[in-house]
Amino acid sequence: MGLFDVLRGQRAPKRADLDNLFAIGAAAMTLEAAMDLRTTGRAGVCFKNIEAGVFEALIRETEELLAATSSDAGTTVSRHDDPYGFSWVVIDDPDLEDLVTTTHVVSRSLEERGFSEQLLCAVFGFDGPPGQVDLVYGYKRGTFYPFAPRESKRRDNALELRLQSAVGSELPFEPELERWYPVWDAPVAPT
Amino acid sequence: MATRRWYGRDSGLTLRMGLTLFGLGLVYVFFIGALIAAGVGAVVVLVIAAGFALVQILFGDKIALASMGAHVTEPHEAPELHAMVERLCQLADLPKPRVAIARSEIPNAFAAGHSRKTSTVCVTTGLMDRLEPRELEGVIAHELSHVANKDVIVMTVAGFLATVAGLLVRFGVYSGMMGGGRDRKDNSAAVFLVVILVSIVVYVASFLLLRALSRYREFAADRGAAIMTGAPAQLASALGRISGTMSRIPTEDLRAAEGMNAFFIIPAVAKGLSLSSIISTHPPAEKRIARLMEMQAQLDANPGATL
Repeated sequence: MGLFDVLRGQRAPKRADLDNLFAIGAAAMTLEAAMDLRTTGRAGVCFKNIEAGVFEALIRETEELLAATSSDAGTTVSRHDDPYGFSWVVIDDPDLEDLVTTTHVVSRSLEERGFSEQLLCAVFGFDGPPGQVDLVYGYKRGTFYPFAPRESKRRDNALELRLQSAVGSELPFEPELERWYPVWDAPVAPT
Repeated sequence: MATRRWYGRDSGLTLRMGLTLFGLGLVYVFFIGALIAAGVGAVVVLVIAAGFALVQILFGDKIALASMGAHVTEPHEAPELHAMVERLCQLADLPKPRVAIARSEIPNAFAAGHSRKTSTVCVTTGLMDRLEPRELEGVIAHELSHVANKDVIVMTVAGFLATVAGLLVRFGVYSGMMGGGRDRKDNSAAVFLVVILVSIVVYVASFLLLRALSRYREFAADRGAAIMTGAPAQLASALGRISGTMSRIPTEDLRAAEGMNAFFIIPAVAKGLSLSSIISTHPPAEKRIARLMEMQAQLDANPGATL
């Protein structure tokens, strides 16, 4: 943010960064080996709600694209609204690689429609003996951080920190702990 | 592909802003000249004024919060409000500010603090009671835009000049009343008179320019909120609701809050004069609502397209 921006009272909108999304593939293997955490088979793209018609078109288009590419045959997408006024495209697929690819496709088409600034985060659900933990990708920062939601709006910080030490070097990790924003009620828990 | 922005497209607003800044600069140059003419005492005044500005920068947020009887909340005290702030911050890539709540029936909100890292966003209980969650989100996004735009520090720095000029006016008048020429020559008395006159002109000009600057920042924050939430109409609806309620509340009850107006989303004390459009710190709510609805219309016509 330059001095001119400060004086004008405006700032360049923060664009979404999709480049680092694919890094999650290698980290997932480490997570399974080190902590016995596996994908829940669900991921979600969260964004500030946009007009319903655009939303429907996006879902339809993604479905068509998935149907056209045979390797992603098992993938389904659905829409979800959360109580915080944000919308989700929820992606179901037992294979993590496919989840990541579809997440990227959905993010890209939102970006191409001009909703780059509306993109909040992508959340990948993991589950295992230590409990549920999500890997959250913040589009504006281009980084990942862990989020382990527990009963009554509490989070398992110890598990989150363990996750950081396990995969922190493999992923572009969010270095500032105060940016590890909770994403309550993310629709990526195991069903 | 398409970038979605209102920025820069609003060339009229940018031009007016440029003129305002130019005007402030002009006043500054003018003022330095006057200071040189004054010579003695000016340095002392400057030091005092700088002290005031420093206090305002360092303790302004604490004074503001204390004067509103606000207390900073922990996430478990107001989980929904915190969650709302967190998501908006993540969307705008801002560090999360402290979240304060003031027990007051007056529906209002303000942002305080001189940097992004140490800022506080405060809402009143009256605001939370009256607004729908989506509307409240618009208001909070407006306050977060103030934080992102560094409005507190900009207004403090801009206000510094006005403070200095104001002090000099007083300084000049007092000296004049004490019989300006103990052993002064006619020449120096004339210089002194000029300094006082210039100071008054500077004071008036910087006062008006400051108000214009403040109004501009309000529009900018509204725009920032519209971009952040993608729903300008929600903020417009909130503004309508707040300003409607504000005008019905007798001003006597609000006097205590008058000094805080610069950072409120709606000024607590409404001015009924036609002059108010020139000297008020905020643009009229109708004008802000009209602009927000324009943005909404653009969005409705072509959601996600280049604006």
